[in-house]
Amino acid sequence: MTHTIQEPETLPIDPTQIRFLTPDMCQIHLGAHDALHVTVKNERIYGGVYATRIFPVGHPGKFISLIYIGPDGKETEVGIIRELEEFPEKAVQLIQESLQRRYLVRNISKINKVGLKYGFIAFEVVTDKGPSEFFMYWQHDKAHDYGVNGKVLLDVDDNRYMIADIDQLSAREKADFQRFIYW
Amino acid sequence: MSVAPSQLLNRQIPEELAVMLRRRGVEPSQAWLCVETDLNLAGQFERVFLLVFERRLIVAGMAWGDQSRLIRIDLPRDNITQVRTRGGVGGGFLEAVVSGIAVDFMTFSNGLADTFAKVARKLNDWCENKPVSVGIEDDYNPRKCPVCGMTLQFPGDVCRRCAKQGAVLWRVIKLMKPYSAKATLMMLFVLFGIALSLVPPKLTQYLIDKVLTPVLSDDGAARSDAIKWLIMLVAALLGVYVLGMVVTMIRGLLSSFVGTQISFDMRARVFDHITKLGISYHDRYSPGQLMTRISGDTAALRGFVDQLTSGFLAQLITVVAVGVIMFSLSWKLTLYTLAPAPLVIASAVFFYARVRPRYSRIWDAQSKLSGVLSTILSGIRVVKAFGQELHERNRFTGSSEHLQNSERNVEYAVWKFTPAMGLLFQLGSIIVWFVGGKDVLDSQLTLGELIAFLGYLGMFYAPLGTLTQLTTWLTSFLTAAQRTFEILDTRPDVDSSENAKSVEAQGAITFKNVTFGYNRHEPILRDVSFKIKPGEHIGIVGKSGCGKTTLVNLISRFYDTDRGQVLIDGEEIRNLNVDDLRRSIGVVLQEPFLFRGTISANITYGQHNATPEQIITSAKAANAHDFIARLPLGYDTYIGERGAGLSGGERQRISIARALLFDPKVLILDEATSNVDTESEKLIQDALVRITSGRTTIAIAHRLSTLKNCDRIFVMDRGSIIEHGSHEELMEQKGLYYRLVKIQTELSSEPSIDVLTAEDEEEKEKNAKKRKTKS
Ligand SMILES: Nc1ncnc2c1ncn2[C@@H]1O[C@H](COP(=O)(O)OP(=O)(O)OP(=O)(O)O)[C@@H](O)[C@H]1O
Ligand SMILES: [Mg+2]
Repeated sequence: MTHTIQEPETLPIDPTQIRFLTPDMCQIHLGAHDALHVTVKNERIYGGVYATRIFPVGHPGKFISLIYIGPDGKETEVGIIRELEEFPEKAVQLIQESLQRRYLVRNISKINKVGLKYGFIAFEVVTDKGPSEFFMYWQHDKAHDYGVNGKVLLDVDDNRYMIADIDQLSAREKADFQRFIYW
Repeated sequence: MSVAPSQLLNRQIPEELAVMLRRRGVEPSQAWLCVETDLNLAGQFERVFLLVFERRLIVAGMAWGDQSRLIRIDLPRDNITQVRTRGGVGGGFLEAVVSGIAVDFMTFSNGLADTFAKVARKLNDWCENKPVSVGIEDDYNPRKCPVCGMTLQFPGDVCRRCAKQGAVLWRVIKLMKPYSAKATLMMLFVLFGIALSLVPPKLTQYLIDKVLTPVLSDDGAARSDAIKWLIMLVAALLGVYVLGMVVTMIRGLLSSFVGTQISFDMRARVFDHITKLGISYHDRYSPGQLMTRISGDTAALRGFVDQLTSGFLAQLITVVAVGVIMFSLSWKLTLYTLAPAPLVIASAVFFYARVRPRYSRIWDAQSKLSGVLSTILSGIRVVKAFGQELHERNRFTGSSEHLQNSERNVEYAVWKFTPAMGLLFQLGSIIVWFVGGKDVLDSQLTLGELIAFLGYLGMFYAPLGTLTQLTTWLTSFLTAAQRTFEILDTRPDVDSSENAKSVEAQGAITFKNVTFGYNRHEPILRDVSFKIKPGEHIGIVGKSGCGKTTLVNLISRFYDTDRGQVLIDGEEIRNLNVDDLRRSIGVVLQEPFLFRGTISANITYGQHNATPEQIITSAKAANAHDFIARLPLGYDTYIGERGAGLSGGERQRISIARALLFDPKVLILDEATSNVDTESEKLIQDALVRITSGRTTIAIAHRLSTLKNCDRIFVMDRGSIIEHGSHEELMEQKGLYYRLVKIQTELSSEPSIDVLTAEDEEEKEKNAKKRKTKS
């Protein structure tokens, strides 16, 4: 077998303790190869970090976890940012970019057409990332609730499309949509 | 331009970019790998290219305008140590380790996940300086339809785009085929019944024209004639009524027979199919949802037969027949009668479009309610333990209210629509009264004809009224039927191939470069290879979540591998009959599941004809006999859902006994003794050693002492086997296993596992001495 046994890095992090990152104890910046870095004062620099929302639905703007990916691929949480606004503008921007990278969700702003085609639901929509057409299975597990009034749709490739609030759609769009996604 | 030899080598890059590259001294046509993705790292749609050369890797984007940002990444090979994919939400990344730091190279949407998984593998080989090439064979993707390229739900699924689906109604009618003789007879009786019901108004006509009118307007001469007519008419009416009764009775019996039979057949088919569907299907659907489908939706088929015989079909035929008679009585009046019809049809069509989605919502609310109920009830212990009765009541009330609202939503609409339709018809009959009355006064129509016409009019309108509900019924019926067929159309993902071989396994297990993940981005098992000889005892250790259970799931073929092969006795398991395969493997699942029933029924679950001696033998080996014998009803003790009434360890021991009784060639113990105290564990261990000799055994355990006696131990870490060997060999290696042992012995405050064993033996010796001295 070809597996090389890597001695895992020992990180100065206690995984059983919650740690909130604040601007006075850490710095968020870009490092080598434009990878996101976090420098925790009196601890070390973590290079190759990504941000993830831990309550993406419940508290979308808060509780952002910064996760360090070690050279061996092992992921360790560096800490949690409770309020992003506390951080300097530059850091906020970096975190936002990292989040955008991770959440490839297209927000549907307009539904042009919904219909059945080959047993799929075929959508023609306008999203924040441009117009898009997609097929989804007409199955319950392919459209999830998002918050109180939203829905997340998964197309045949498992790409995600979000309607943040169904009531924001026009009456016709809403009726068309609910004719198929009635749950 | 020439056609690309493979998706992974599509060198048709924009000219602009080619120019840029040449300026940097690289020739695009020299790239051995060239792929495109649809997203940039900011998550915006953009064409981004990855070009890999012999010793250099370039990522370049095609954002319009900004020339300076064309080249995103340009790295020599030697700086890159590893390349892998990582899943995001709705997409994934190609990530590389560059000088020890994880760097995102590219993003891709989920449609390209399979492609990039391949890219990552190729790049890894490239980093390690292994020979790599790209060719047409890389384009083969079992998750895409070979004809149209549509993504399939799982490899081998039928492509919905290419497969034609029969109309639902036609498929339902075809269900009656096995009972076609009875169904035809039933329909004949329906027709006969309708014909009979047409007679009485005609008799009324004769009563008035031949009996009453002549008598009222004339002298005594007509009277005797009239009496003769009267007697004849009464006899005819009596005959019609009696015959009608007989016909209704027979029709009812037949329809009940056919109806119940069809729903029985359908239940059986759906049940068979659901149990055949793979574990991955059951991962997706909750038992509550499936329950509604098996019991509720198939009942709707029963309704279909009722509708044929006494419902809408019968009504429709009545309407046509009555219409024909009315036409022969007076075509003029019939036309007046039909005046409101276009309006009725138009509003019915409109109503249909409106109400259909609301019907689906009722069904959804019902299945959600049963989902909530089954979750709450099966978790009732947790609910009570946390005192959450009130909270759960609110949750239940919420779902229940949702159902109430959805039902009201439909029924309110129906109750607004139906009476309005009724009024339209009544308008028609008002016209008939006026026009018909005038015709009689003008002697264009006899009184008897008008009365008969009015009688038929009632028979015409009544079913038309219900026919407006046809749409509502048809909708709810078609939705139910559609859902049933949806299940039947789902192909089991793990299916025995046509020429599946039946086997009597010897117990050799081989994994060849197996990669598997529950979703496409993140392989849970990565390139796992090993060979297990028949009769060998293997232990598997590793951190929680590292893929141990997943690995043994693949042996039972609960899932199919994404890449690589699993072989039993040298034969790939895809070529083996699934039932045979599972019959040769006994599994003690990590979460022991016991069915509602007696203990003995649970132990004999896979071996129903076991003798009591066999049951006791396996229970003894599982160290379960003693506690079972102490129960008042012994092996006949009835246990509740999920083994309620037994302790966790007792449940585990029963499920061990079940697996042992099954007498498999391969025994898989997934944390089988984790809930059992150390002393009984030891006993079970010893028994297992005895029983499992000659059988291939794979035991997963967190308590490492359990695995000391294994021939070999596999140490897993994040989806790979990183160490293997006997306990002693692994201790010498001073790798992960050594560290785990150290931690466990520290926790138990013993210097080492060997000391533990040594002490064990000392104690035994002492005891033995004691016994000797006593005797
Ligand atoms: N049905 C599933 N669908 C998706 N992911 C799953 C599924 N089952 C397990 N996983 C994931 O696969 C990984 C490996 O799970 P697995 O059950 O094989 O772990 P394990 O080694 O048996 O852990 P443990 O020691 O805790 O039992 C986990 O990260 C888990 O979250
Ligand atoms: Mg497990």
